[in-house]
Amino acid sequence: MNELTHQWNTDKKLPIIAFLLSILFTALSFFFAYRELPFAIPAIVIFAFCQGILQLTLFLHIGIEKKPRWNLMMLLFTLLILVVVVGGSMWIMYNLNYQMMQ
Amino acid sequence: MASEHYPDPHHDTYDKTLFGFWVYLLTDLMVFGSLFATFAVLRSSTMGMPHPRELFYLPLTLLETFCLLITAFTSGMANTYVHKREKRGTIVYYALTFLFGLLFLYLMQDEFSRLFALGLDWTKSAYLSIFFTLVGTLGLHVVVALLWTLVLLYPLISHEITPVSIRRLTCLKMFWQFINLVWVFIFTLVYLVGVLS
Repeated sequence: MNELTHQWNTDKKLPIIAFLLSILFTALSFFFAYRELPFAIPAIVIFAFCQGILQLTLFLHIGIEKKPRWNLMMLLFTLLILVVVVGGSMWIMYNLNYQMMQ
Repeated sequence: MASEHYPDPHHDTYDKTLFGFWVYLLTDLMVFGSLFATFAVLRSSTMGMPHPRELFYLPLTLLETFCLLITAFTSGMANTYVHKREKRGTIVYYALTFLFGLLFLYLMQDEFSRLFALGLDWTKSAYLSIFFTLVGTLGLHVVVALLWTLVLLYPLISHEITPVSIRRLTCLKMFWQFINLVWVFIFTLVYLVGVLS
């Protein structure tokens, strides 16, 4: 039954590294927000995406499987759909809002 | 390995189950995606009421973030023990996961009651409506995760870890870490960006 377990499932270092790096990004985001540094909003959003990718790879082990990378493919497809649905909705609503004000 | 050439029901079930669960988590991500889209559209519709930027208490949000981050960490650690079939480590780390999940729920309930006491519930404005829906849905996920943790820990009292429980406990770990992933975006976009704009 040892084939069930990928090497990264028993590696204790990965959760620890992911935890510490996540704390780092979280602390950075809160620091930027608390002190209201310039360019805080773009910086915080970038930190959020970095932390997201970090948690995906180091906690959920998504990008690091060997081929065929079904998990990664599904994630990328979902992100594509999300971009279309979320971005499209925001675009449409913004347009409607603008037209209502004319 | 022979399993490379012949279909093997034991191994295939594990991989298929984890993949299926991952696909479910992605559909869950779609749900949160549409909630985020709604939030983006309605974030200025406060109907003249105090914008939560004036009401958010960032230290509380930081504490909530740490609670969830710790649950992601402890469930990740627990998973390493699960795959080595070590019962004690599994139980200890999942008990910690449960504790910090409960703490997060308490903090969230505290924050919500404070807003309700000020008369700001989800019926009062579009912003509040989507705020409570988005954060509340995540809270509901935490409740489900807590119940699921209890259900999976119960057999471990008297039985050893079996391949079936490895599969289930790995799915549980994925669920806790998924909750964490969504919370990263909630605290960033709702709380931090809200406070800054």
